[in-house]
Amino acid sequence: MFLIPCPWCGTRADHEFICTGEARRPLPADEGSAPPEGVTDTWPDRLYGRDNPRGWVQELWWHVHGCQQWLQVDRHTVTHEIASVQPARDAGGRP
Amino acid sequence: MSGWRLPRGGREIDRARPVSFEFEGRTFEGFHGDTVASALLGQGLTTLGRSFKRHRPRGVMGLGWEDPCALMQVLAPDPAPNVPATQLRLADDRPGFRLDGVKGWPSTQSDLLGWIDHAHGLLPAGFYYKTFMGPFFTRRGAWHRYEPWIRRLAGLGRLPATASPVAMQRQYAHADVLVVGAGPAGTAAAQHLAQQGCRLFWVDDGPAPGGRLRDAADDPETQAWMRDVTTELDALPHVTRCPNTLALSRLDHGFVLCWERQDDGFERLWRLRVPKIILATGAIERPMVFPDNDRPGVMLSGAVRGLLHRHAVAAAHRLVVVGEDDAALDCALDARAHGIDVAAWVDTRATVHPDLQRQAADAGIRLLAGHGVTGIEGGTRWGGVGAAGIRAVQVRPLQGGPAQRLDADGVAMAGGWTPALALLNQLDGALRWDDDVGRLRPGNLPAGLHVAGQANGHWRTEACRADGEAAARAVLGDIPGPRAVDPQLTIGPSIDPGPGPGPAWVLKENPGLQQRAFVDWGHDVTVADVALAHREGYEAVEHLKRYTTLGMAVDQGKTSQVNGLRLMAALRGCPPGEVGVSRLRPPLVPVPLGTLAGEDASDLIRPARETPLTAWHQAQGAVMYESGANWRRPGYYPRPGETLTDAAQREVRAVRQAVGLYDSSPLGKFEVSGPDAVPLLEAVCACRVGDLAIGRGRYALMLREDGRLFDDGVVFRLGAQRFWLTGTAGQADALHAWLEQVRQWHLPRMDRPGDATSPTPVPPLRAFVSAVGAQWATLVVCGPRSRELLRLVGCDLDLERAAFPFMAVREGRVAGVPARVFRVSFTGELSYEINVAASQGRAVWEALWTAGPSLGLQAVGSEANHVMRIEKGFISLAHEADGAATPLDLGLHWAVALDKPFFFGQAALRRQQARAKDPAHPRPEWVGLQALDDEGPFEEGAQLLAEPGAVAGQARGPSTSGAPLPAGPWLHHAEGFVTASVFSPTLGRVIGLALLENGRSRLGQTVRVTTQVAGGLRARQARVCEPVFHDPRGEAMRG
Repeated sequence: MFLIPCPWCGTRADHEFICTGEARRPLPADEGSAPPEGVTDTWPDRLYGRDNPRGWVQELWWHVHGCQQWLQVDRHTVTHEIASVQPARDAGGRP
Repeated sequence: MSGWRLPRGGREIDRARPVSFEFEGRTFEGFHGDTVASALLGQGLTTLGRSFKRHRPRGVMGLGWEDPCALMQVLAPDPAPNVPATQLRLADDRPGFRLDGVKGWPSTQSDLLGWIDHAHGLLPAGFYYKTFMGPFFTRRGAWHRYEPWIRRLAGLGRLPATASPVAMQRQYAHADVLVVGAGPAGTAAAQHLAQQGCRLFWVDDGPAPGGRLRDAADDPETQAWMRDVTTELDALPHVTRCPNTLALSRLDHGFVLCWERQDDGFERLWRLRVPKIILATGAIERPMVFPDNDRPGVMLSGAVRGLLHRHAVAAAHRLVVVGEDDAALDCALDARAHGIDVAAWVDTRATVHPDLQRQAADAGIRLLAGHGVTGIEGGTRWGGVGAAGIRAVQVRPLQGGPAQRLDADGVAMAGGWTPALALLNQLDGALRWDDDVGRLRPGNLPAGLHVAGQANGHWRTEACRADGEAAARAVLGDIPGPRAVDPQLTIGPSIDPGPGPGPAWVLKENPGLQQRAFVDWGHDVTVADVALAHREGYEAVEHLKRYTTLGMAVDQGKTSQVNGLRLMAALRGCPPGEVGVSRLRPPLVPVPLGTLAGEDASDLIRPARETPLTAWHQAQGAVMYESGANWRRPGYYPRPGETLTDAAQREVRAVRQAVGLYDSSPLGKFEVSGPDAVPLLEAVCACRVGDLAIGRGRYALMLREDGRLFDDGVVFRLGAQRFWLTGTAGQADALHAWLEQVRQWHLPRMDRPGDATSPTPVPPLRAFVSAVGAQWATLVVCGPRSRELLRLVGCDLDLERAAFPFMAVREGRVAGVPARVFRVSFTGELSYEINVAASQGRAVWEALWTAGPSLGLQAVGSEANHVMRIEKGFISLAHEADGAATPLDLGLHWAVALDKPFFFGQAALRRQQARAKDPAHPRPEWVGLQALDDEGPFEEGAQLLAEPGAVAGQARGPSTSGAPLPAGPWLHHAEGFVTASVFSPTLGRVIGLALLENGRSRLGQTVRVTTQVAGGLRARQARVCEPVFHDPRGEAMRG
């Protein structure tokens, strides 16, 4: 039961939010074919792989029962400490 | 018959208020303020349960939640399994307890399964898995024959068949500080915090303050102080005091669950947010480990005292006090003062403090220091059958020497104290065994959490008071813990002097005695089991716990954990601190699921959503379905005598031949507007959006990044910068989230479509998404006479095909109500989707209904819609779009603009296309099926198999003519499955849809379709065909 400090609504309980996991940037559009023989195909990993770190992770949370804004939440996966919450459009995410 | 009720005394009972109750069919008497445990003991019953594995008779060990064995099946008034008898308080305003034991057959008093105990040598730790999961029993499925029988022997109570009659409440609360416990430390802390103006939440498991003092003789000064504090604090508005409330769980971000249980049956789950906590939770007394220590009549020394002082119940006539802690003397003195003979104080320590020796001698109590108990005589020859009293206790010097026999009918154990710090350990606080002081201590304290009183290692009342106040000061001053134990406060007689020798001496005894020396009463774990775990290499605490199940019973190891780790330390030859402490998990005690759920039960878990027309459908006798996202929607409207199929086929015929009316209000509907609405929709939809003329629309597929279809709908252009997007009802919430995520997260980091690699921030997207699904009632008029019906009801739009073509939207009035009308079709017929304000939905529907009879209008449910979409070959989410299928698999190339700059899923589809027809990676493709028999529709999900021999290397499967084959490896060669199949009233035959590997290149071939028959699977034959059965050119819907 986390408390998430929403920049728009104030601190709210996590049951107002939906989390969709790590804040990944979208995949590039020009990845239209498999790489040539001998080159590692990173596509499946970029599509389905997740870091699942022990430590800090940047996640996307949607404040669905509040302002309906997407937020980037920096959360520690062991202590569940939340270091920062930013509007998704301003946040960095990870490539 | 050992215990009896004293003629006077008992602080917590009211003798003027007798309460009777029933246990195993017999009626017992107690007083208001008794527990079931104290009342039964007061009437001389000692055996209250049978043990989990060996069916040994068991009594009451402790008076709190730590008691592991006296578990009750509550039959009335509020049925529940496995409730400790110590937690059932008799109250004359809630009479009528009816109870059974949870184990023992026919009863706990005479258990015919007691023979199991005599086979205990055959039932060591791990026996169950080594034997029944081993090769002998698992071979040939023997395990499945024995399992039900074994399961009946094992286990505890039975779940009640009906829901609890008690209304479970939940309440949220916020406070600055939570104080757990109302003993001397908790009371002092609460008093100080309240006086400082702190918003305080103060819980205690007991009915009145006192903590451990509830078990002790009167202390008038302290009791008066506690009364004054509660009176003072109850008057303060910023203090919430909750007696009879147990703090269960300490969870993330200051979230604490507290369980309030009042004697009248009222229950409430407090959901508390609190940044700072003081744990003044006291300590739990440990049992001594010696042979036969589990006999009924052997209990903790604090429990013997608590029975005397709280309930005026004497546990025995003649008592032996066995200890390695000074609490033993307190118990002996209290017992003597209440007229109980004390046969001896047996202590495993070689010597005790001279002051205590003198006190014992003055009271005439014989001290046997350096002695241990080697056995208890009592019970009957077949220990399992019949009640088991105690006759005598055998003791022997631990250093060797002759044994003695002490006549006694009760034993008290004082094995030292384990601080009750589960709430600390549950989340971010560690526990460690401190070898210097021989005690369990907090290893670290998280910020804002302090431990006070006996839980912090203090013993005397004044020390606990001072420590509680110190904790309050530390909390207010944000001083990090842990606070050291003040040595000045721990010195003096009747202190906790640290540990005695512990249970290690039992390891030197013979194996027969070790098998009768219990460490964990709850799961029948003995010294022999711990030794076996050590021999087999399960030395780590978490391994020890799982291998022997020590600490995993109902009581969660409250009395057993420390004895277990001290035994393991002795076996490993290391200090106990090196063994470690296994993690304690929330909740603190077993909680009924209903308590946690509160009002989130039955219909309130997911409240049903109703359209503006739900009441109308129900009045017409429609059978209502859940149709995604918990919407209630008509499945079909049966007429008298009609089956589902009859009704659905009649409704289909109405639509195909005349006109039907369908409530499609649950549809997901979104308005997307703003200058950047086009780039947003281009990214989300696989079709082209930007070139749509105002008033026109397209079929829109919404894909995930991996190209899988997750929703489909239509997108229409309402204005230059205004669009209308629909999706399926069940996915509407997911689509809303996705639209906002693309708008707020994905697109702002692309400086050109699809390119998210540029670090340059781009200006915010000027587009808005409004979820308007519930604002509009959506009425679908479908069938060749739709146009006539609209004219009949009054519509100011030009409905001619040239003016209002297929896939167009017009705004006008229908039946006098402003409406947005779309020409889309899910049935394949001429169709108008009329959207009006939700508040007008019923009026427009009834106007259409009233005008309709002359045209043959019928109301249509989702069953008929399902049949029609299969006839037409339209995909349905969760049938064909199963989460793995891409639009290319489904033959929807025409709905995908692969050459537009970007949409989500585009890259994945390009890769799929590039490797198309790779024989090593056949994709399932969407096809139709024609049945070649007359056996009715195929089963949804049925496997498709190639004809034998059609695929090289395919294993044998069932034939279409032969006997059924049981499921076998051949099933792994399934090449697809049936996604939907119905009898088509339009075509007069069975049709089906399927996903089949390389299906598009197998049109005209036959496949075998499995079907369930008694004894296995049989195959039917079907011909692969195009997945469109009705009007393949779409002339009807464009008409």
